[in-house]
Amino acid sequence: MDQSTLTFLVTIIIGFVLVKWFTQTDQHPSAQALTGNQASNGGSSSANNRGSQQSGSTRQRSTRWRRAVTPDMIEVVQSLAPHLHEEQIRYSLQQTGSVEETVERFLRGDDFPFPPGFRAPAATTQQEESNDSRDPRKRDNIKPDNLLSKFKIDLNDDMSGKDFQELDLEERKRFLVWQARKNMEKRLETDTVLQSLVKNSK
Amino acid sequence: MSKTAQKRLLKELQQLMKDSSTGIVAGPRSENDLFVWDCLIQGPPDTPYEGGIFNAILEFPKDYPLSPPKLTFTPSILHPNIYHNGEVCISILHSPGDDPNMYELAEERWSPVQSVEKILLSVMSMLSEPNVESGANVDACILWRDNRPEFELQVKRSILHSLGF
Repeated sequence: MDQSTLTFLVTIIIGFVLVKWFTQTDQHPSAQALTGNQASNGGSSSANNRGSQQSGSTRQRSTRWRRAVTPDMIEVVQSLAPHLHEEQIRYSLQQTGSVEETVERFLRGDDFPFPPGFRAPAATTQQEESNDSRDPRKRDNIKPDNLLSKFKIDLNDDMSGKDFQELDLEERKRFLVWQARKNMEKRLETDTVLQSLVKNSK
Repeated sequence: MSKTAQKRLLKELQQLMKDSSTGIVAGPRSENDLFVWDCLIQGPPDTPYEGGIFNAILEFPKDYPLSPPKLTFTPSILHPNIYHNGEVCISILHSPGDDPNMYELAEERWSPVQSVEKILLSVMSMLSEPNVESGANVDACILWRDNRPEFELQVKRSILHSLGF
């Protein structure tokens, strides 16, 4: 492949990317169909430009006739009104051009319409599913574990003569469990409540 | 940073091995990893947990002792302040910054002057005096409040199981 072909290909690719960049809108695909119809309504929006200070954004060029809506703005409103759909917020922001105004509308209890022609996606069901994924703290792990087998304790061992301070870590653990087992055996001889519990579990 | 943590953990381990309070055994689970400790805690006397031995895992953050470790009972136990998965909810394990309700006093919460031993002693006192006001396991809270005998039976049953009866 010679130099000029390479240059040609690279130019084509860059050109394609640029065209894509300038023509894309940041809308939900289902609402993109109406950008054409809306162009006429949005013409008078240049007067109040409070919310669209992010004028460095290149996207604004394609949406000049509407007010620029950045993901940040949507996020701010969504944090206040989590039950609203992203498209409802975007539509309102496009009309008001400012987060303050949209939030005020929300607090006033105004309706938040979907953009005309917007078809509710299957997203609602997905949301329910994600709510379903449970808090890890709620995962039930309350169950007795057999400590004798966990720490490999032989009940025939006699550990009573050992000095706790001289044992190493593993030995100390085994000593603690062993001691608890022996004490419980003693308690079982007299404690009727515990006796009945042992009987019932068998 | 993790050097400081390692040094501090080693020091605490030596201290614990030298003179540990009765009913507590704690140390690294394996020699290669100082940041995960395996602990055994004895149930305090004159409580439903009397006679039981409870196994818990302490996980230390890399910036220990600036941040508190996380204590998880394995397996979990029925207690108003222990989540179903075994995570323990007590003030000493919360860093001073993250109490949204400002419910706990700053001096009760985690600070670098606390230690593993103090945590485990707090856990023991938590076992004897559950704090139903800030419950982690709502079912356990309700049972503890409304039907204490049944709560105690369930706890005792699991202790007996764990000791092989």
